[in-house]
Amino acid sequence: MFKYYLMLSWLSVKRTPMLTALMVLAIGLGISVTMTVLTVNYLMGKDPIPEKSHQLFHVQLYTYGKDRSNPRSADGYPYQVTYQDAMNLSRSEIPNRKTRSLQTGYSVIPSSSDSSPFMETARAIDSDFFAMFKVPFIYGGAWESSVDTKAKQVVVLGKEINDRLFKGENSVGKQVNLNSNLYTVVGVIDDWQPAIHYYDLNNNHFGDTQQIFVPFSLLPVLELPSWGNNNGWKTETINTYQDKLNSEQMWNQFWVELESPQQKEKFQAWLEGYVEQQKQLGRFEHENAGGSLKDVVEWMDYNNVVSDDNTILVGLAFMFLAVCLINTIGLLLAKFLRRAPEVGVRRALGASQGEIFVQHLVDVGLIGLAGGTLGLLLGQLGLWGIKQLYANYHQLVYMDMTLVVLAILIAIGSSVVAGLYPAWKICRTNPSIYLKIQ
Amino acid sequence: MLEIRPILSALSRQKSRTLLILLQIAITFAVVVNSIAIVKQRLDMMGRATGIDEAHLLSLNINAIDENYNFKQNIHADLEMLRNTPGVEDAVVINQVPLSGSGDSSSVAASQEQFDKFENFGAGFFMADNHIINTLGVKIIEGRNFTAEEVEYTAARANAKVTIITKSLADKLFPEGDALGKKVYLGGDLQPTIVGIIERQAGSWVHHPILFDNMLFPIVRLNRFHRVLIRVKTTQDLNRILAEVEDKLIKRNNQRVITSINSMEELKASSYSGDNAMTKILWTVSILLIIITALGIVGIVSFNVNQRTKQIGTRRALGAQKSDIQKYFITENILLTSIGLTIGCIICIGLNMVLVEKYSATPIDWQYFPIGIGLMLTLGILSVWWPARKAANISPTIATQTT
Repeated sequence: MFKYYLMLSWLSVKRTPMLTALMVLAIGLGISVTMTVLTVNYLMGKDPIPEKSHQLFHVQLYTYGKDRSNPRSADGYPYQVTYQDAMNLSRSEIPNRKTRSLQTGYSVIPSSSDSSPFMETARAIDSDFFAMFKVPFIYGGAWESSVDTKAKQVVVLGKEINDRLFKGENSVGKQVNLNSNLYTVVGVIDDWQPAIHYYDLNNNHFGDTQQIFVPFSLLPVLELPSWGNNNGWKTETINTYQDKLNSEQMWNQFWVELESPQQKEKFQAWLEGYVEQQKQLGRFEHENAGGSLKDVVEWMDYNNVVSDDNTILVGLAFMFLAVCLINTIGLLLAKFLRRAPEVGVRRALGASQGEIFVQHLVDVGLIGLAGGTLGLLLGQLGLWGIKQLYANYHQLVYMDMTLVVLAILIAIGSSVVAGLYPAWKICRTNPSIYLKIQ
Repeated sequence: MLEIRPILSALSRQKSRTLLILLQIAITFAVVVNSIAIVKQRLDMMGRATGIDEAHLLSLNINAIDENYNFKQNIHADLEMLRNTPGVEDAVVINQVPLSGSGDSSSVAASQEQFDKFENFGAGFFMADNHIINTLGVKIIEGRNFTAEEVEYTAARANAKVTIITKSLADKLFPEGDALGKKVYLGGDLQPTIVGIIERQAGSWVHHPILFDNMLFPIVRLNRFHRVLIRVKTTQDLNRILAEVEDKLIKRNNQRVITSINSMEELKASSYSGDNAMTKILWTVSILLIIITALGIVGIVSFNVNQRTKQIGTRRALGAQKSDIQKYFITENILLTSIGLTIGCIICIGLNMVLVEKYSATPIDWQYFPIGIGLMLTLGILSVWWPARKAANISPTIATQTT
């Protein structure tokens, strides 16, 4: 029977090629536009580290003086912490793992004289960083945790820069010249490109990750400059690097890994204690003074990783899909009703309403399938276009299995929604009218 | 003359199809008008005058490697070389480059008392020598430029005695319009006197409300990492300098790395890339939507014409002119589009209210409604033209045939 329906459908396609093409195009365009926009939105908002996103917490402290707040954040907290707070926070024994973090940069001076020096952004962190964010190593590993308190000139390199400096060989134990200082390589990480730099949303959200990782403890020793945001609220005279380290300027980040809610509570309580202690020292003068822990998902949300523009586009894309579907319903009605006389005859010859209904659903299904396929193809074109438009999205934009399945579901769902009413309407045709005219 | 009544009765006999067309027109209108409004807002933003000589500027970063690098000497030598390069109008070492998305800002108030009470304004904080006015290509409308003697070279925080500010900032600090000669307060002992006012100058963050509120200081920071801004004479010079500037600087002293050599146009495009993408996506969506709707109308009307072949033939046989038939379908379409647009206006305003409320969009100007309505009506008539002509060409003899 199904085969017979398929044949009927094919005949009806052949009879109304323009109308059919129009419907396939409408469904295809609707799906491609929706999928393109949804893909970007989904990938941006996607949990980058689902297995532990609720165990990693970004720490914020309300260090502002009276009447001060961060006008850009939802709760008025500053995004970053001061150096002194980063130092003090790292003394807590409660978290399993913790890391201070700063974006910095270097002039890299290759040893061979035929290649010229180049600049690279770098990240100053503690040894826990790699385990916390599940950074994969090819050679070696993180530096020893003792380096976090007693600075040593060691470095973890990214794959790309290791390829460039050491032709991809195991460079552990070799030396790299950064800003005319020699650093010993302790590890090389594999290509690590999270779509979103969730570990540092203060700087660029997207794009390539850093290729150089050095101990945070080197900050006061080598006076590593900040290559990220520096926010101050207090009138302070900052003439030297030491002044900056002692100041209320916020330019560092702090992450902790807390395994259980109990541990989180414990650390939260410790934070409150810390704030109280600092109050005694004359800091944290604001009435809202306190500490805030946000996990990865909350932190991304807080930093509006999915921008307003993306959300607007998703809304508009669904309205676009709605127009395409309404269009298809109209065209299907037209197509089916044109066939009403024929249906009348079939009904008179004994076909049940159900059979007519199913036959037309097969019709709709075929159109949906063709439209969905077209939609997926055009969707790839759409994604290609998005990559051209947003230079730093290249890590971000691709369709994974979830998205392909979602696209197929939207295609089937859309065509069924579009087809139900017309199919229902045609199967309720009263055969006698058409028989009379004939 | 207009056959509204038969049209209405015909439409009421096919309620679902009528409703579908109405909805389609309504949503298309709402989406297209809102999209165009957003596009217009973004284009206006990107098209704002920056006050600087955008077309002839380029910037680059220098990071010194050598431990014993003499900052002051090298900066002087670099600037002298650049300023004497054929095709270069002027050049400065500067702490931040306009439109680049990265830089410094500070709070400033009109009095110490206001500063202490946080009654202050944010402003971009630019530091360079007295060539900055000529390099940026900005216009001083009151007061004077910095003098060479006022320029201070320092690695520490400089205590500038004078500043030049933009008119936009001057108007905020001193609404009376008497900013020139007044002191401004930036905290501590930093209390420079305003010696000049610039007509207009864009700062670094294009999406920040303080984009045009800027202060200039005659300070050159002696940092390992510094930025250079170069103004050239012509576009040909720009491309030439972009290509050769790195070699020139390295040849003069190779103990440094030169990066981020960009023309101002590139920096601007990069800062606005999100808006640029948004306008292009919205254009594409709008055009596709219009095409889909138009094709939909063509399809439905063609079907109606087919359905009514016999009826039309009969009307023709009873004396209706070809033009009457065509007029019938066009009138029907105008009627449908008008009702659709009425619903569309309501959806459109509702959608805009949501966008304004939740996503900081701007309310749609009323002008967009007549433009959108005109567009949709024209589109409707164009879409119906061809099927209506087909209808008009139906032969009256068809009335006498049996099928």
